[in-house]
Amino acid sequence: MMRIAALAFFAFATAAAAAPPCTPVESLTLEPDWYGGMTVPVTVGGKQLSLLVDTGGVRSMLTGSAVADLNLAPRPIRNERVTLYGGLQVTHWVQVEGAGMPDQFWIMPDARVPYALSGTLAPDFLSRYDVGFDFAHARMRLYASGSCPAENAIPLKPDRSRHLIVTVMLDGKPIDAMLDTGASRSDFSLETARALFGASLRERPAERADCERGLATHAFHQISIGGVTIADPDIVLVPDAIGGRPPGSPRLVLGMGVLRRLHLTVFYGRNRIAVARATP
Amino acid sequence: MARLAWIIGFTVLAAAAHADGYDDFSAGIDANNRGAASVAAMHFSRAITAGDLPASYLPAAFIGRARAELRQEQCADAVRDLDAAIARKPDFADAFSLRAEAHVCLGQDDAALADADAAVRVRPAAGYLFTRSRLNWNHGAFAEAHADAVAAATRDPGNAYFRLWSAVTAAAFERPHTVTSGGTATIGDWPGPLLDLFGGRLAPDAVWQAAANDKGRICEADFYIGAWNQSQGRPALAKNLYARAAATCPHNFIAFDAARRALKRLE
Repeated sequence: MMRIAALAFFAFATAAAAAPPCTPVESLTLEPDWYGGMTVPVTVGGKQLSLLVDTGGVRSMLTGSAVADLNLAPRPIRNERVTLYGGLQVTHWVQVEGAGMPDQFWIMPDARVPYALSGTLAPDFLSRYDVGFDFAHARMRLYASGSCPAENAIPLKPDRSRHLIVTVMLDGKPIDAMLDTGASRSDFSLETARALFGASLRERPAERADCERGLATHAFHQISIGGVTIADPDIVLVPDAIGGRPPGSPRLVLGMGVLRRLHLTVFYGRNRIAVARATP
Repeated sequence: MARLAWIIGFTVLAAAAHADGYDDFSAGIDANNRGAASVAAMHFSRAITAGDLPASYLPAAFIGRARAELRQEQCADAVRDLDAAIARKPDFADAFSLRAEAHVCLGQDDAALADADAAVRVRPAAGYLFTRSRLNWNHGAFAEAHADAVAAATRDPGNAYFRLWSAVTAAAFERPHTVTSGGTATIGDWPGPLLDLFGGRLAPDAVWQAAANDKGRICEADFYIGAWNQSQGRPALAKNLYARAAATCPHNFIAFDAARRALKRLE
């Protein structure tokens, strides 16, 4: 018996030693959507869908059209009050069978993502892993949680929704920012920007393709995230009345316009993030 | 030694070239999001010819350049780029839908409708149904236009423009009873007054008031109030409003093309 135990231990130890450290359990191809958000192909109910990778979301979602196409049965959300950006209520969810996917999705209106997409992958799923975002090589790699060294990683601010919140330096001023792969452009509260930069803020009307009103821009010179400096970040100044950010959430949201220039590894289990420059 | 230097030099050049493709791709997306069409087209052109862009980004580079070209009304170029995007990604619903718009721009209505149809076949999402509805309406196929408009509004009930378009197609299809299902808009205050007009809850004067001092709203009001007047049996008034919308609406507004088509039918 002792011998069997010893053999078993030896076999386990050998296997552990042979397994290469920090090997992705999944490596997914990233494809950009219309606005530069990053999507991954997934198979749900035997159908191929494109889901937006949304580190700024809370729960993974499917659009109403996708739910209808997959012939899934919506169930009412009973114990939670779920409000999307803009005040819209989410009222139903669906159960999905399939390995390597969230097993539950909330149902969102079609227009919440570009029409080519079927929904989002949010931190409820992503945080099961350590996640590498290699935008320059179009890869998202999922690692077993805790299997990769987190050297040079900086701490994330604690957040109930597992959002990626770090302190950044924007033109020399420290401010908390959320890194949101689900946002195409970066948004900054106009009121906070005025308070932080005072007279040096030179507001110009934003030339936004979708013609939203009341938005402004300012030519920020640089932003430093985890020691990596990005020049000339494109940041839109959004009045709080339009932005609708929940109280206590960061006033600066960094979207793909900035994040595309970085390589990110998120150690969800250790609440840390490693930031490097995107190097093709 | 010289050989080593040459190899190092080649490696550095290759790395620099690689960086260019991705950086230009990224800059192209940013420029399109800012509405800077000519800058976007320039960056996407560099990204496409760099030869080092990841394969999964190439269709997006072609559609990005096409989007910029359409904004500049370079419609034939846009069709060529969308052909390239679809060749690389045959289930690219966005590319079919945008190519439909490019064909409209070139006056190729049959090709536009075929592409709108292809987009819906790939993915019957509300936005693609809406595009097909508009093209069928342009064609005078009001029953088909109305069916797609209703399907789009059902799939995405939060989009007030889809419900508004349902009202317009219902009126054209002489089904005024469905017009009453307008409801209150959820995209800000506008186009709520237009929905209320079709729902019989607001008079045209109040809609004009809501649109005042905003060129985009006024042009939309011209078209939609025109459509409402036509449904009320006042074609002469409708014609004047369509003419004004066709003359003043930006060319990328839905109301621009719709007004031109409606005007042509009344002339």
